Amino acid sequence: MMERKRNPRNRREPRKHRKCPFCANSHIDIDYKNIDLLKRYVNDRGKIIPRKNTGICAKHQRRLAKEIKRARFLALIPYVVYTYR
Amino acid sequence: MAKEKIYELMVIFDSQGDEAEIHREFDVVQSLVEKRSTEFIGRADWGLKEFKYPITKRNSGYYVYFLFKAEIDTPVQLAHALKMNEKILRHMIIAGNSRSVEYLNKLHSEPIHKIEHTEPVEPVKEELPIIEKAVEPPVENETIEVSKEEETQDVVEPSTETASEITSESEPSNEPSAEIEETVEIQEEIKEDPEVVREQEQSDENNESDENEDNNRIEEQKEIGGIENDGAEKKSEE
Repeated sequence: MMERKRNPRNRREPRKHRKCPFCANSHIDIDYKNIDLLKRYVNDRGKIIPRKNTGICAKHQRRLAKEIKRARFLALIPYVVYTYR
Repeated sequence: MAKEKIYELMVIFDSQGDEAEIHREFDVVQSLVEKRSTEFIGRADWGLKEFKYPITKRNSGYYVYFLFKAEIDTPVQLAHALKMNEKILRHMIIAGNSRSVEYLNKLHSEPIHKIEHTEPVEPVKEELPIIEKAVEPPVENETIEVSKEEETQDVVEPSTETASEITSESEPSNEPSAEIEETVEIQEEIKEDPEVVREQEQSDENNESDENEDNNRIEEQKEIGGIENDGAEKKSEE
């Protein structure tokens, strides 16, 4: 039996450890009124970006998600962004 | 005594209708909050804003933010009262904290700063003296002329120097022009030389003479032919 050769491209690189920006700067207030901040953590479809991509800690991700949902309720941020062809 | 807490209330009012009525509605809701709360901290009008998605077929509404201290039971009662109001499209009551108070203070402090920025419309006063300066053009012109003259005087001296330098430097550059002048003179001399003129005239005469000679030859040949013909005729007559 021939042994399969592993493609080096498929090899997973160790994930870079990022520091949570909200832990580093405690003065930043995660709030539904701060729309410019919330927009940074929402993709172009209006979805909340997962924390493995943003590098936010679990605690602040929970708070961020809550504030995004509050802003959505008040129509400050869209629930869904449709892209028509 | 029940527990007290800071609460935030965000209310979205319907934008359809008279603005005066809508602003009256703000006050109605504020009085409602003041009645139920133990301490009314403040209010902030965000103004008319477009919704990111339509709410009850409306695309925009007035956002008003209230902050107050109240007992734990009051938010439910307040929400019930707000639901009864038809002018309110949507409302949200959440627990606040010290940061929400800071936010309100910042909002209230910003307009004051804006007024301070607008008050020093003194730049207009600063512009006026500039206009006055413009009204007195002769003084400025004289000064400018004097300065220009000085500059020209200053400039002339180096220009002479530069001119002398250029002449000294331009000597090699004059050589090709001198050559051209020489060639022109030679051509003129050639034109003026009598020998050359004679040669040209001779050459012209030669050309003419050649043509004449050709004509003469043709005529002679004709004559000869004619004579011969005459002689033959004479012989035939004899």
